[in-house]
Amino acid sequence: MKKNNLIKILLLVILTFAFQSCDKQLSVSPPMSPVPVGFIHIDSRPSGALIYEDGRNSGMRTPASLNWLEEKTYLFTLKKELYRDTSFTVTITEGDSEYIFVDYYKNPWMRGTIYCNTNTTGASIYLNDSLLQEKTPLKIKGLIPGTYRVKYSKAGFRTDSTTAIVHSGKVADAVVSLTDTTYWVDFNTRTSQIPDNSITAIKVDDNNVKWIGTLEKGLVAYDDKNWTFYNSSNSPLPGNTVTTIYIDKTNRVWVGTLSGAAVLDHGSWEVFTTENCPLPTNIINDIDVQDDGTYWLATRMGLLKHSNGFGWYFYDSLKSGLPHRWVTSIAHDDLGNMWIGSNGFGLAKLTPDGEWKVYLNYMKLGTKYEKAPFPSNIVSRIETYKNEVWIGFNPDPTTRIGGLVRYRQGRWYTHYNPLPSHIIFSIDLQTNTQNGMLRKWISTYQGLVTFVDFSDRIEYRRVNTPLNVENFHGVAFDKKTGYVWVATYGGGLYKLKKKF
Amino acid sequence: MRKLILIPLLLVAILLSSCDEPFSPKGKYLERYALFGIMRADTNLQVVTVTKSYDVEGLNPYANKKDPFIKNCFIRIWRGNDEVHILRDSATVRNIDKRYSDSAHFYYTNNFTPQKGDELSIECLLPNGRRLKATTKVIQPIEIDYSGTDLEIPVTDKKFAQVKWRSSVEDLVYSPQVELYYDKAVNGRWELHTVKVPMKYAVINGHKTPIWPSPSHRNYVQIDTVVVGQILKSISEGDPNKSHYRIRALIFSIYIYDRNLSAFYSSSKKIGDEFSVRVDERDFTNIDGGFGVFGSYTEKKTAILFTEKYIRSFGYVPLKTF
Repeated sequence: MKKNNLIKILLLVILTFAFQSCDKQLSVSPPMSPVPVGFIHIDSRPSGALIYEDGRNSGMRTPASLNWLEEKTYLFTLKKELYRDTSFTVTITEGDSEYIFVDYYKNPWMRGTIYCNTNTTGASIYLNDSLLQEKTPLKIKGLIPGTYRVKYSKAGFRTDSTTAIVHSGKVADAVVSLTDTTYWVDFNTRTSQIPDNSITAIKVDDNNVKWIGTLEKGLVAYDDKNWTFYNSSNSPLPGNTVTTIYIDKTNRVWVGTLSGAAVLDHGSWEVFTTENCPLPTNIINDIDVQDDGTYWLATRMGLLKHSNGFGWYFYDSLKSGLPHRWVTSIAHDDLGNMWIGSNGFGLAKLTPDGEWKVYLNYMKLGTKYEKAPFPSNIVSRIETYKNEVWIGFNPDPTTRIGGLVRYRQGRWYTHYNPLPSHIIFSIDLQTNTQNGMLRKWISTYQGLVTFVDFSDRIEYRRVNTPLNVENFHGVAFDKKTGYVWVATYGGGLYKLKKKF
Repeated sequence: MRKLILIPLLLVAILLSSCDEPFSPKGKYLERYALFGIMRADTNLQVVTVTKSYDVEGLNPYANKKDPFIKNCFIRIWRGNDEVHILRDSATVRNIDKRYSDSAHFYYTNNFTPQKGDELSIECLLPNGRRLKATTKVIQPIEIDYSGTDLEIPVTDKKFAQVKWRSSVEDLVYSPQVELYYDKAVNGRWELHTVKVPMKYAVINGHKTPIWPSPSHRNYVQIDTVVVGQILKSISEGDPNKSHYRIRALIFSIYIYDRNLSAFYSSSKKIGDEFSVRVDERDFTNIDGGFGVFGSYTEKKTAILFTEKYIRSFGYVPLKTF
């Protein structure tokens, strides 16, 4: 019996070895989970909406397919510019394919509104060039988000437009101040082809072409229909900053710039610079041409004259009677006198006999000097009509006042106060008036003044015009209509539709 | 009794033969995936690679000649929830691992510069539908500890110049790099040049071998000033016009690994010498669904200037403003 037990125990041991001794431990990588196979396709109208998955930007836009999704409930949000966000949940199950289509256009909550209004009610409204039945003011509701062009037109006002960006559930303002063109028609870079809103000079030639000088874009010609542009790149014009324009008796257009002078003689250019004539500098302040063809170029370093038969003659303050080399303005009268303004040394007169007379606002010894009732000794502008001379003065450091003075037959007239500003940029004399009387236009830093008699003067400023600037740089007179073309510094050109 | 004799024989036979099976160190091949993406805070170019495990005949893993790079992955990197960058794939000439004959492939974005403190996440959707995911946080730059940093070379009472820094985070790995910045007059114009500076030189197998700064947990780096002198001398070797050299400074660039990158480096680096490996070596990964690492590093630069007298002792022109 004992022996049998021993055999049994030994067999058990053997079996244990047989089944356990080969039980080895292996290190293995953890099993990988099965690949999820959920699928969703998301589309929208309009397409291009950004898809957010569980609050995080997926970087994908509609239409897009999202593959290999896990089994769970996803929160998707579609974000599209101008539209409200659209969120929805989708539960993905094994092997499931989901198709989601979001139509923004069918959802009224996605629509927006444009508020159309103008400073004058009753303007016609064009929405993306389609004329609407209604007139301003108007709220256009139910619009698909996007960018709309809104145009307004009304008789007596310049047609104008704006863009409105419509967002879902919001009101976009499309409010425009229409320019009243009953009297004032604006020509600026927004409303016309004019290249620069800073106009430095304007003159009208015998063909009624408006010649417009600009601060940075050269010379512009406008014949009521076409715009022609002259600059240093496309023409011989030596510079793009025009300082002065002069139309002579033969209808030649003289142009002064900061880089020299030029004359446009019926299509042909002639240029004057320090390189081809005795100009002391290329900075031209003013130009004058006498009836015999003698022309004068005023610069800050002297005065240059060219006469037929004599050629060039240079006046400076040392070798001639010129009181100061910085010549600001120049004009001739019917008696053949040249009137020469200086920057700080008053007004000079050069007679046809070659005699100099210098007028200052203080007493100075010497036979050529004479005291005159000037507000300062800085002459900004001289304009002549027959034997009458109009002189504009800018404030000098001593008097700090400027103003307007008239000279006629040896007498000075100074009762032209108050002017809107002490700084005078231009004096323009209108002869084609309805009553035949000489009308004076004074362009100043802060307003435009016109008068026949100063007591009946009219001031044009921002408060009583549609103009948005008060810095005037000259006027010119339309030979066909009698209207006035007004140059402003910063506001472009205006046509004043009024006959004087 | 005869039966009893058979039992021990049987036992011995089982012991000797039942476990006698061929042993192979290779397990059953299982396809696994690895993603490596180190985000750099000093550039807008970020690169990611995705590879899979491979099998070879025999035991030599280098017998594999097929690039394990996985093409056609859809990889996105997020900064927060709203900013996402989808990586594009590209390839370049392989100049490190030459055992693969084709180009080195990678995924990249060139429009993403991580900022300090950014929380970044990456997701790679493999062509077979599996996803590899990871997150990391761009570490704050270190601050230079000027109490332990030399400002000028030569230094007094020491044979080395030291830069020391401190960080608000512990157990990070820092990888310093030292360069000499100098100008050289070429055709009348100054051209900027740089040269790398080792910590010291050691003689290994009879050869003078440079010892470069290596990544470690140390919060300082020391450069043998004799080595600096040798480098300074070497830049104009053979050129008698020493005044054609204008010396700027010794620039220390310290690359700071973030937590993930530090842990990955610590777990995978060798210790002792190049013939030893850690017996407790283990793989670190922060990639959910695979292996590899998604981390970032930032860079901090500082300079040690040279005294004018020291520069002039080499015949060079000192330049302290740069």
